Amino acid sequence: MNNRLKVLRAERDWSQAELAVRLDVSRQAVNAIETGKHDPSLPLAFRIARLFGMPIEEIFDDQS
Amino acid sequence: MTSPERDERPMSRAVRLLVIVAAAFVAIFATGVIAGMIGAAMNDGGAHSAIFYLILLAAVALAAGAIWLIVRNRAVMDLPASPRMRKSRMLLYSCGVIGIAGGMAFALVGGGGEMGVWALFSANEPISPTATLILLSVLILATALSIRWHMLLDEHERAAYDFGAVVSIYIYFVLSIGWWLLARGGFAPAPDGHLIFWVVMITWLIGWLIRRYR
Repeated sequence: MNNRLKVLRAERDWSQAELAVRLDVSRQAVNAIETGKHDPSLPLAFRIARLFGMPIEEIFDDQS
Repeated sequence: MTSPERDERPMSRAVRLLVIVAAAFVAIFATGVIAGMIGAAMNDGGAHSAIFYLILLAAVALAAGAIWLIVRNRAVMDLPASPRMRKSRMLLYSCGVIGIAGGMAFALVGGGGEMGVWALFSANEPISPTATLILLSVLILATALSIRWHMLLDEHERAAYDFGAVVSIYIYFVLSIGWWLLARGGFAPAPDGHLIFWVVMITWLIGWLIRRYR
């Protein structure tokens, strides 16, 4: 699944570690989601969407 | 913009972690050699050959090198800022400390007899009742902490752990039944449960590391 997490994070000048703290997950988890190696669960996807103030479908894309 | 250097590559972290573990084993081994040689020298008294001092020097250099590697890579062991991840990491370190303390207590009470601490890795070597109680205490305490640690994992690490578990279950299934069939057919000696246990545990660890840091 593609996502815009890295772009959204960069726009806020957050490192992976900083984003990991805000989401209460490990830095490896953030890296795995950004690189598409791990698809987040629905609760984590909602946490991400709330953090960036956007709907889930604007962050994650399952079309490709 | 977030600079790329702020986003550490996960694989380099895994490699540094493995370097620390390997260096810790080398440091323990070299320290054991140094302690053994000093103990032997104190018992013997008198002068020793040049080879004795060369080996002692090599052991000291090995220990120093291993400790330097640990110190150089120590940042990989820093606690994460996230409260849940911090708690989880502290529990993991606590299990390690308890394991090391148990191993040292085992060596101090001489639980392994002539085999010393290597009896820990033997399947059949008898150990003293005191050592048995020490190891059982370590097992129960470490298991309780591990369960708590497991409950604190984030979903990515839990998935990595589950992946390692599934791979190791398959290894266990194929290895134990395959070996058992080979033994019954006269192609192999009787299955060694101790060896199968270690293969399964190491497979689990490798599966977890690969999935977490790939």
